[in-house]
Amino acid sequence: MGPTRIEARHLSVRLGTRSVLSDVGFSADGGTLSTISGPSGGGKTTLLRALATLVEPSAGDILLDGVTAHALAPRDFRIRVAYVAQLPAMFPGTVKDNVAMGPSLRGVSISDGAVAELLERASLPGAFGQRAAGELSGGERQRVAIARALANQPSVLLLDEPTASLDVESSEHVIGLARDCAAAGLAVVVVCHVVEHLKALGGIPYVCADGSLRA
Amino acid sequence: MTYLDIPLPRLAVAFALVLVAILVSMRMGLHLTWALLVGAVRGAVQLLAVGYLLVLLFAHQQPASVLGLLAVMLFVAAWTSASRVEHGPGLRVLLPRSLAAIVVGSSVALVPIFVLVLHPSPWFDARYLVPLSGMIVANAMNVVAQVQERIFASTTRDGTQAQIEQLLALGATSRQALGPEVTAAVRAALIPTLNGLLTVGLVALPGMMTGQILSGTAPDHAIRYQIIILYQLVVVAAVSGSMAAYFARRVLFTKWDQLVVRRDG
Repeated sequence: MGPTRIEARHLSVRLGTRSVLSDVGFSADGGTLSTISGPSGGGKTTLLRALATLVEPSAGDILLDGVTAHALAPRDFRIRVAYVAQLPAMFPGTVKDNVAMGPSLRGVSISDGAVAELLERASLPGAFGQRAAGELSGGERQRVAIARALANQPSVLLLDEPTASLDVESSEHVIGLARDCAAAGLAVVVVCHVVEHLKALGGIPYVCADGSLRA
Repeated sequence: MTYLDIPLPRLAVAFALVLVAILVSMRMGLHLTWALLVGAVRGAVQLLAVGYLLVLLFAHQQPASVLGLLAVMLFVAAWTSASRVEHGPGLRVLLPRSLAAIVVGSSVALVPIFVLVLHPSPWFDARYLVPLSGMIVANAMNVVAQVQERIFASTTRDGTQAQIEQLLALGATSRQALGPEVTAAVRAALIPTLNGLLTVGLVALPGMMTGQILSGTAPDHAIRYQIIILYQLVVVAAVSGSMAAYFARRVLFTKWDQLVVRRDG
C-alpha cells in the first residue's frame, strides 16, 4: 500500500444558514506537513473538522486514499484520521487512561510501556502517565492529546491551533512533534495563525479565508 | 365491609385546605393565589369528569371505547412529556419519539401482566385496564421527559460537547460517545421509582392500595395488586427510559456519527 492521501473535493459546509466553506479542494499526502492559516471565522477549523468527518458537508466529499469517507464506517475512518481540537477535552482519570482511550473504545488494551513510549514521543516523561488528567497545564494537555491521538496509529494527523495558547517552550515541543509525525510518514495538517509558528512548522502553506482555500 | 360516604358538602370542607395554602401564599407574597385556585378547581373538575366517564365506560364497555380511552391517555402523556423538554429539538421531533417510548415501555409492563397474571374476562375489562394503564403510562411520561431533558440539556454544554466530539474523533461510536450522559440520565430518572420501591409501606401507602382497602377489598388482595403495580412501575421506567435515551441519541447524531447540536462556526 502506498502513502496515505486525504482529500477534500468540492467541499462546501453550511452551519445553519451561514456558508462557512464553499467548493474547497485540498489534499495532503503521507510524509508531508501542511499548514492552514487565515483570519478568524475564515473556515480553517471547519475545514479541519470536515476532514475529520465531524461535520457533515452540504456538498462535496472527503476521501481517504481515494475512497469516499461515506464508504467507510465512521469508526474505521477516524481511527486512521486523528483530530486534536484546539482545547482538547481530557477524560476523567489519569493521563494513561486518556492515552489508552482510543484503543480501549474498540476493546484493545495497550501496555504501560506503549503508553510511556507515546508520552516520550510527545516529549513527556513516561512516568507522566500516572498524573491526574484534570490537573495538566495547557502545554501538557496538548501533548497528551496528541499522544492520545497517536495511540490509534493513524495515517493522518489533524491539529487545530495546537500552539495557540502555549508558552514558547511548549509550542516548540508541539511543533517538533508535528514535524516528527510528518517525518515518520503521517499526513500532518496543522491549523495555525501565529506567523512564527507557521515558519517553524514549514511544510506546504495554505490560506483559508471567506470560506475559500488557496495555496 | 363498607366505606364511609363523602357527601358533596363535606367534600367542600376539604377545599378549606386549599384556602389555607392560598393564605400562606398571600402572606408570603408567593403570587400563587390564582394558580392554586385554578389548579384546585381544575383538578377537581377533571377528576369528577373522568369519574363519570369511568362509570359510563364500566357500564357499557366495548373494546373500541376502552382502547380509545387508552389512546387518549397515551397521546396526552406523550404530548406532556415532549412539551416538558426545554433543551430538545421541538415538539414535532419529540412527540412521536416520546409516544413510541411510552407505548413500548407501557406494553412491556402491561401485556404480560394481563396475559399471564390477571387474565380478566373480557380481556379489555375497563376496571382493570384503565386504572393500571393510567399509573403505568403516567410513570412512563415522567421518566421519558426526565431522560430526554437531561440528555439534551447536557449536550448543549460546551464541556460535554467537547468530550463527545473528542470521543468520536478517537473512533467512538455515537453510542459510546453519549454513554456517560445516557447512563446519568436513565439512572436519575429511575431514582424516584427506586425510592418508591424501597420505601413503600414505610413512608408512603400507595393510592390504589389504600383506595381498595377503603372500598372494602381485603388488604392481602389489595397488597397483591400493589406489588404487581410496583414491579410494573420499575419495568416501565427502565424500558421507557432506555427507549427515550435511544431516540435522543438518534436525534443528536447523524447516520455518520456526527454530533448535530453544535452552534459554533
